[in-house]
Amino acid sequence: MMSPILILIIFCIFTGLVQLLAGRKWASYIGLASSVIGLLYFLFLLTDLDLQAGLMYPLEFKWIPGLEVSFSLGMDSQNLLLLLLVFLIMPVGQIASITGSEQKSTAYYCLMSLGQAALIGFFSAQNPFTFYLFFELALIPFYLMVLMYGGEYRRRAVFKFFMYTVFGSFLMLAGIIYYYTLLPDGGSNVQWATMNSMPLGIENQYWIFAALLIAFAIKSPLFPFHTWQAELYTQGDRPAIIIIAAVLSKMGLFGFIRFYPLCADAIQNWSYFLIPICIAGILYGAIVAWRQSIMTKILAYSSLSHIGMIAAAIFTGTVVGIQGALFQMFTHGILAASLFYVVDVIIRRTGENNIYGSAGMAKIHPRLAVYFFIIVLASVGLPLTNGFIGEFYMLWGLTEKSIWYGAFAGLSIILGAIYMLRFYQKSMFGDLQTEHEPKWHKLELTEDYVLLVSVILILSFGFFPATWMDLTQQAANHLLTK
Amino acid sequence: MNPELLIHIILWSPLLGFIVNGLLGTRYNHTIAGTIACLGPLAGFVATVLLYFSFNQPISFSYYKWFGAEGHFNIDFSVMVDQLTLLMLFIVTGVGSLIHVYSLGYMGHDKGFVRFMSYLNLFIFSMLLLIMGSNLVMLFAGWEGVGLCSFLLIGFWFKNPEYNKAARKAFVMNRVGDLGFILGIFMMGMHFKSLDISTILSSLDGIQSNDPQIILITLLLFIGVCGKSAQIPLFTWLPDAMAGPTPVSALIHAATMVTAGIYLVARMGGLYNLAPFTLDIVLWVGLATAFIAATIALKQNDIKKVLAYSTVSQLGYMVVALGCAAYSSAIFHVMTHAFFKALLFLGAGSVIHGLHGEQDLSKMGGLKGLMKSTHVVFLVATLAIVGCPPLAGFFSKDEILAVAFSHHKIYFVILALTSVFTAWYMFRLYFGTFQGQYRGSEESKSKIHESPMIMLAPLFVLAVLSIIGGFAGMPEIISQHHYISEFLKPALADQPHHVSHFFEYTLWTVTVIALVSIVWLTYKRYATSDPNVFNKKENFLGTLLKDKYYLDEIYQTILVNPLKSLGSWSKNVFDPVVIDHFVKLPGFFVTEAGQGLKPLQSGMIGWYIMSMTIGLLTLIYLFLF
Repeated sequence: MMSPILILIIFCIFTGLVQLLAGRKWASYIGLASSVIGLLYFLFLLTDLDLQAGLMYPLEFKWIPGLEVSFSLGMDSQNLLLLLLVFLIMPVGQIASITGSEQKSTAYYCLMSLGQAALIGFFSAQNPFTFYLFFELALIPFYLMVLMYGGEYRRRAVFKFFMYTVFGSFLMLAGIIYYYTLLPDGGSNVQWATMNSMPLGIENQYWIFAALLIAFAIKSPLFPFHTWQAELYTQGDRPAIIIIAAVLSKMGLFGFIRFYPLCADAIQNWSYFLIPICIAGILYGAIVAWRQSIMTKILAYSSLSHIGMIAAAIFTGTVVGIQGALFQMFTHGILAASLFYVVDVIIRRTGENNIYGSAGMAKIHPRLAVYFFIIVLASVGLPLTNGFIGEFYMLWGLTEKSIWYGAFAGLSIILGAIYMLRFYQKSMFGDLQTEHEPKWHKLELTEDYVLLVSVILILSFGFFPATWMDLTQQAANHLLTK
Repeated sequence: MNPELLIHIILWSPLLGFIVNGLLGTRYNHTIAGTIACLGPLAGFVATVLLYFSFNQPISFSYYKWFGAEGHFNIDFSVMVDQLTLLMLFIVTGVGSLIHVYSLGYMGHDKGFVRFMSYLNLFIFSMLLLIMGSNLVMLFAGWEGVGLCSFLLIGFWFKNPEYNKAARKAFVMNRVGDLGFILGIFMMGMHFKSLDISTILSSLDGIQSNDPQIILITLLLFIGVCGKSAQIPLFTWLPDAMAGPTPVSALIHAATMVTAGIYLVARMGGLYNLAPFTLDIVLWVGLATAFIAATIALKQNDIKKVLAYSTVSQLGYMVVALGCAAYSSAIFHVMTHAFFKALLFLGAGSVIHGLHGEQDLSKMGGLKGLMKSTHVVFLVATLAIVGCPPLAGFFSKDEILAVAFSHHKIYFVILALTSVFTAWYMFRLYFGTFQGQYRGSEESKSKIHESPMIMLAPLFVLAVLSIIGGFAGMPEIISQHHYISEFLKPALADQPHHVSHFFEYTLWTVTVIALVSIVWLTYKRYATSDPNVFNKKENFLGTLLKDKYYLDEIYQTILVNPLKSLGSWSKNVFDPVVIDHFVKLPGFFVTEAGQGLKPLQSGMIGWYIMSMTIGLLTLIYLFLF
């Protein structure tokens, strides 16, 4: 039988092809239907999940025979939550692109399906080369999407994004090739799962990790490699940005997780330098977010802050910290997508990307205000929401390493409350800017459902995270055993 | 009845009220919504009474495993009821129910009535999580939950930006404390390998006094206490929190939420006993807060602000008791304070309601004839808070004074002086409001009305409690049984205190003499028809007190503004100029090279994608078959 993961990838590419042929009118609905089918199929796969089995649905074949490089996919405890994230977020992106005011071309919808295929491949990749292949492939559709639609200055923003990531990608490719040359049999058997058994010398670890660090820090992004982010999030096409902010921002972090066993000693030796930089990024992102008035920029810098915390938690090398990081990658994906979706809902009504533009909206759209508020609470880590769980584990891990790490990274729970509540109050409360009641149309049914689902996810993962935390514990234990 | 069933009822009925009203509240009228909202805490209160009668030993059970990391911590969604919890349950559900009923009258005409009542329900639920949580994370969940409800209710009238600001300030300052609290939780978890409260408290044997780890943990927890219970340096949010509707001030910012910090330290008393160093700090923070807040209250003209500072000051008393390791005395004062301070706030609310929103003391006066019932209950509450024998405040305050005296005379002197200030500002408030002549306009005078029965009834109940509440804890010179401390003994880790009988008698005599003279002096001064008495030009010290020692301004200047500037600088300079400068260096060369390659790009994205898709499918086909 064919691996279900491959089935899903082929299904997405096939959808893309059908969309191209179907024409503009149907392309969007085919995309939405296919993303929902993908989600349902994935949930069906989860029903007979057996974590003890190790790698699930594996697939491997020789790829480039001369180089002994193989192509390998599969599902394991580390990527399960992120694959789930991909399948949950894609329908949101599809819905946002359908309800958007712009008429989008067939190619756009096709790209979204191809993007999904690449993302599935990326997260399920089981060896460094496959990982690299999809790391690059996943970018292309999203580059093109943000280039096709979006704000006036999107070309500049995308160019900057492109420059940054190309630079990182070269380093990453160099690092990976170097790694393969070090392996005894040319790397034909290397898998994440067996990486532990082939330790590298510390010198080699330093070189490889340095290359990967820059690539992943750009992709995440981490301070100080973040200046492409706010511009892209503001100028880019919003449905694409929803996916970029929710899923693509996890690619760099996921890279740190995947390559952790390879570079464990290097990370630990450098952690006294890496963690403080991450913490600086957490605080930097938070205070800049506080001073922004452009909604998408607030979200960009808030992401910078949250992602910094996740990276710091990974670098602690503690079981609890990595558990928190894995769970928070999923949580942050849900929250970032929800927040961008809310911003999209607001902008489509007011036409303004400014927090003051929608003042007084709580009076006219009370349901939106409630959904938005719950999402904000989750993103400031209130207990009984999903945001708390990840934050608790990550801060625990940091405190385990040093109480100072915990204390300084923990400042983000104060600063987070400051900027998120400011964002919420200014955009929802207060008095209407205009004299007469603005004609902001009602919350549509699809919008209502998307937000409702996100609130349900927030609360259910906040109240009942135990199963998922067991999963992350297994992943973290596996990552840290030598 | 089965105690577990009663606990289910207590914990879940307010949440049920919140959910029902939150989802459906707008579909039916205010009466039904109000009834549903009141049923939540009322059911809880009845169940608490039943639980009390069937109570013989602490009960704890777990609903399910919340989350955990094997070998590090394991957090159950679990509850525990012991004597301390039971007493707090009486306060929360009892006073909570009364305030719910009062709100039916006070908020009945507000458009957001249903929203208001459901927030109150959510608050009660969070407060119950806080006092019933059997591990520190459950407690923390309640702790943050009450903070959230406080935020929602302070900013209840959300069209006003000032109120929103006050709400945000409360939430953020609480979060400063919460950071300390959660770090304390982490340290405790790593030190004791458990976060279950009873497990921690039973594994304290063999730890040395003033162990550095214990000092660190207790200090971190105390930061949380300073945030929630409004102690120096984190108290400035509480006076601003008075922006919320008055029942909120009574319930959250006087009777229940702000005492959560006191509850936390009392709960972890066994741990604090091992850190005398921390207890000293706790004691001094309490003393300073009690004293400073009382001095500020002397010069405030907004009746709710006077009561707010008075709350801060009374919380300081409780913290002093904690610092003396007299946990039961602190909890006793929590109880009596809940009665009379709720009564004061609700009474003030009745005045504000009757005066159509007027809160300025200089525009009141002579209300005793116009609002007879409110006047009586307010007088009772005033006598109770100033410690007039034999009302509730007398016994609990007297106990704290005695405990402080047994520790060191200087503590006693500071607290006694604070008591004098307390009596002064309270009688100033009372005489200014109810005695003398009305100082507002004639037109507004004709509109003054007494509040409806639904608001007055809870006031009468609280007045009775303020009168008799103190008898639950009489000192040994009167009675052999100090009911509260005996009841709480199994749950708390009190250290013994003794004062001579001579001291007690002297204290009582001095109290009565001091009170009589203060009443006389304040009557002369504030029972007046002249509004200028309240608005006269102040000397340096008076201005300092009136402007609250400029604490808000100081925080603004040394903390908030520099951070703001740093944020703006990062946004406007660091990001676009400093960082991007480095980014553009390689970019420049690539742009040049790109010019040469331009013709290769046809620009037809559709064509690219088409080739990409077909290419991908071909590749997969080749690999697979």
